[in-house]
Amino acid sequence: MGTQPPLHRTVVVVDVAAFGRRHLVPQEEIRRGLYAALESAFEGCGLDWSAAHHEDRGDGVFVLMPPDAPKSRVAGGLRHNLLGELLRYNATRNDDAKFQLRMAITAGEVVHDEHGVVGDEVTLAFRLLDAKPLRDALAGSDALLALIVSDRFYDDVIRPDPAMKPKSFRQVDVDVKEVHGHAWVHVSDAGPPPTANPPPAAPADPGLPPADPGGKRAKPRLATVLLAVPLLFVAVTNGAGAAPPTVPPCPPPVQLNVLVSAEKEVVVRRLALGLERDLRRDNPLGCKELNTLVFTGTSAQAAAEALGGGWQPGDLVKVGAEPHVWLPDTTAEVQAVEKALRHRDDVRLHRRAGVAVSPLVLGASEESVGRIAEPDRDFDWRDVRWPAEVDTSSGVGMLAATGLVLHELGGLDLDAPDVPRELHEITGRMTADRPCAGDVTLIGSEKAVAGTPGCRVLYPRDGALVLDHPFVEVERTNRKSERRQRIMDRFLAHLLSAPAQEEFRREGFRDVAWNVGSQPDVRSGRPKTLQVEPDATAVRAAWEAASRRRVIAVAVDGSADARVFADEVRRLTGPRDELISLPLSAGVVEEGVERGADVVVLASAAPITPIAHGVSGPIRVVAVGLTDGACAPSTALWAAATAHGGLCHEIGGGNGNGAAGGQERALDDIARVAWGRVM
Amino acid sequence: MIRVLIPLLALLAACTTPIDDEARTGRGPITFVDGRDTSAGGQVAKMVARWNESAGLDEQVDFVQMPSSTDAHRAQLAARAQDLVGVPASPDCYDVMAVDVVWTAEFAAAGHLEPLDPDDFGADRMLPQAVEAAMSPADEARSPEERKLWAVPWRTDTGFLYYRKDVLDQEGLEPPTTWDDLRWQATEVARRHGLEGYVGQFRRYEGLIVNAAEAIWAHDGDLDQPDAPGTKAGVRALAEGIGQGWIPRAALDYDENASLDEFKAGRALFMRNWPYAGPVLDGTDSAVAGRWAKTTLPGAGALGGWNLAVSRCSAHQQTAREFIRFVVGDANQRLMFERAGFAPTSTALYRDPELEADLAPLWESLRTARARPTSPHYDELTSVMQENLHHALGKPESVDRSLDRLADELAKAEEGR
Repeated sequence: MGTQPPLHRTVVVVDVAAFGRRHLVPQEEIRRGLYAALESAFEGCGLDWSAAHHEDRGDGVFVLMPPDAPKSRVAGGLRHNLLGELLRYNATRNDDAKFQLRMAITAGEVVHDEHGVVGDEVTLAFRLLDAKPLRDALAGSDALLALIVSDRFYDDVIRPDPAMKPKSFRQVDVDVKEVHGHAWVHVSDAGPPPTANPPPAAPADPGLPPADPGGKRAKPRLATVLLAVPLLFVAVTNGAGAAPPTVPPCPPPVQLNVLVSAEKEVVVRRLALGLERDLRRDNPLGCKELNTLVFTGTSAQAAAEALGGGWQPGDLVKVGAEPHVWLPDTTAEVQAVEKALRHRDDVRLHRRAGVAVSPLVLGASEESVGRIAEPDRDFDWRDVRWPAEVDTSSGVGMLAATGLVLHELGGLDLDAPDVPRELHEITGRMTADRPCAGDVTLIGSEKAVAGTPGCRVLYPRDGALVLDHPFVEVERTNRKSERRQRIMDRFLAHLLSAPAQEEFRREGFRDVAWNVGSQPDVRSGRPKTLQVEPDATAVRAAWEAASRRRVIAVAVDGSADARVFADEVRRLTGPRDELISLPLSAGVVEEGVERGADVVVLASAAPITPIAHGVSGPIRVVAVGLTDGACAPSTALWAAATAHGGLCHEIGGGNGNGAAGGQERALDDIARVAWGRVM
Repeated sequence: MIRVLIPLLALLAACTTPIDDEARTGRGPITFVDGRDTSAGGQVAKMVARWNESAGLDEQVDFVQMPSSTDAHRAQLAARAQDLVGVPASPDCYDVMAVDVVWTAEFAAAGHLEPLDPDDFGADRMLPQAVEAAMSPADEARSPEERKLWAVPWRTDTGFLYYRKDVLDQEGLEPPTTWDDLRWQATEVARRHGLEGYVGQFRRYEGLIVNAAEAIWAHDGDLDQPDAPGTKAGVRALAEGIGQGWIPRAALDYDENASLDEFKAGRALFMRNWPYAGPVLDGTDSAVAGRWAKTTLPGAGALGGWNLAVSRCSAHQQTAREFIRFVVGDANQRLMFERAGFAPTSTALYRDPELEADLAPLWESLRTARARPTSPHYDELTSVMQENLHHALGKPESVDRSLDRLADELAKAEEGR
């Protein structure tokens, strides 16, 4: 379907010698010179440059001659004219812009259609161009042009035609990649060919080593043994005599597994497919070079945990295939994984560059914008009263939690004693109601908020946290693949290319220079930003713990102080939690276990009877003694608390900070036991 | 570009290094990888445990499960095999790999597999079409002798139509044998009972190709002729089903397990799935245990299945081959059928008096089952098909256009370009 029949074509490939070792400026000059020389040389011998299919190879050019172009003119006239052009060019250039050219010519059946150029002779031409004898012919020589032709081309075109000066070609052994046999080299504008590999006196007799003009017998070498066979090209060979069933003309594409945040999944998948297409288009054989798997894992948090543990076999099922590239939302996530990997030597992360940017913003309904933000649409975090639920398993959610924590605690010290209580209060305010309706706000990336119906985009007055979308290579130190490394470099370059950056903008991200796309509600300039480096693991753990639903059992004696304290405990609980009252009996802890309580709070003004240990499940006990000495180590309160991983707090007039201070400490401690991070 | 290509081919050439005999005859611990073990009670792990009990300490098998998405599974195998090209005796080698029948040619062509001797594994006692699918494609070999066996058929698969027997009995209906019947029952009967009509695997992955192929074949089309009227009719039937709601739109994101969860929870009247679903539906957490039955699909089922291959990177290939012999032996195939619902590849088991009755429906399905195209570029073929088919299923009005485009793109993909 859609494929043209193969035609017999002449294939020409030229390559500037040692091009890559030059500076950028001469490179450009050389490229212009090369094209000018080729065009003039074509015209000079009556060949139509515009009718020939040519492809830029950076340091060279691949040309497919029109089917009707006479081969002798390509091998003779073109060669001659090209040399003339090179002489002319080099005569007027500084040394660093002068160049030598290698050229390979083959001919054979080639398919050329809208999908590209395919044929063994095309591959062969590239291989010959890379052959050592050809490179050697130019190295350290003043010659400007070295030509190599395939054995068959020599036999069919050069040898029968004295005008081609067949004797000026010397036979060389070629042993490059899959090509083993011989070919013919001609060096223009040089004296006699270098003698490193002297030409045979006569065409080699199959089966015999070439004669040595010096009279000595050449040492048997692999290549001479292979002289018996015609120039051999096999796309895929296979050792041990077990040729695979198929001899595909293309090598297998590199597998690249890309772990991406959910936020970027769609655009990155599209861009990865685009790179697959580009690489195939640029491949001289039209081969597919790359296979990408773009996946999110179960969540960014699960992905980070798997990465931090070196992506163990169990993670394959839980999270997905081992990633080679990781594209999380934030560098904070990368730092957390780097920290986890500190003691491993099998996996290393390499942070390359950010591929897009998005500030963390607030979405608010049209009606609430006036209440929350000034006319300039800047908001203060303290006005964020009813945020929609934040899911810290994503990078964006982790950063949103960071924003709230930062405001509420005035910093990111997550180990302070009051943190669980404060965080629990924040998470308790989260609502499952629709964001950007009524008073419900949405904390999210600018991209997500601008794309959510009903949301106006507001920017934090004291600076926005930033999702910097880093490109991270995941290196496995005992399994390095150079092929994949090159493809990864190419992938990063692709993501940073102008069209890809445009794609990111279209999707609502900012490009790496902070330019926005065409979202109507988004601030075009770079908003004020805030530099913080949250510990992603700690933020997630603290947030998750603070969000847990807890059942708190309270058992108090009949005193007024105890009842007041019980009310304070009730105020600690959020909408998801449950508070139950239990009689302050010897079996209170076990009863708490049976009723599903996570924490039992005992508060008493008078000494209590000894409390039995809760045996049927895990439970924590916090005790509060409302008189001086109520928490002495001899008391039942003290014993009950310490036996269940808690403390006993004395709240009484004799306390250092007074009753209020003691009460706050006790409440902080209850919150810590109920909603604190498991350290 | 050439600077990229040349080293790339150089690496390829590296896989042509002759394998030393030491690896071929090597014995030692090996890693066996298979898809996620979703069988009731983890039967694959139990089978490996049986090997480990009887094998020496120095020939233990480590069972590693791959991601449940087959695309991720393939990606993991391919990347690992590529990483280990030219790395001798790496402990990271997946010595024995379960490879989907449709990957076998691709992995062999890439040089990742060791050829196997058919006699060594009793290939002549196995289902011929399964063996055929594990060999070098016939049209690419120069002679019959050149065709190699690259993997040993382990479990064969074909689709079944699972249905709620309790519901159809109550309605006095037989399960559908045509797509028209299926559509009618999935629409009318399902609605009366508050059920989803038909769930299958329509997420953008290999399962979509299987499900689409079966619908296409039932409408006299074929996968390799996307612009043929029958092909378009088959795809349209699915797209309209989603549009009309008798196939839930959510099924556009279902794989085998997601559709199984729906059916198992008692939310769907019909489900297309592989034989492994049976024991799961009778599991303790199934809401439909004892209330379901299965029959042949209304049309040919796709021949699926998994082969066992020896990786070229394996340093312990002798152990690897022996482990494969252990797995594909009749004793284990019988156990895995009885306990995990894995359809055997050993023909003897289909004639076994004890199993015959249980295997009869499968045998019936296998007789008409059809294979997806075999190609070293299958991965490219399928990704092109997935993209266009998934698009078409989501938008019934785009079926014609999507399939015409697919016809063009398939031509390229068949060349691996």
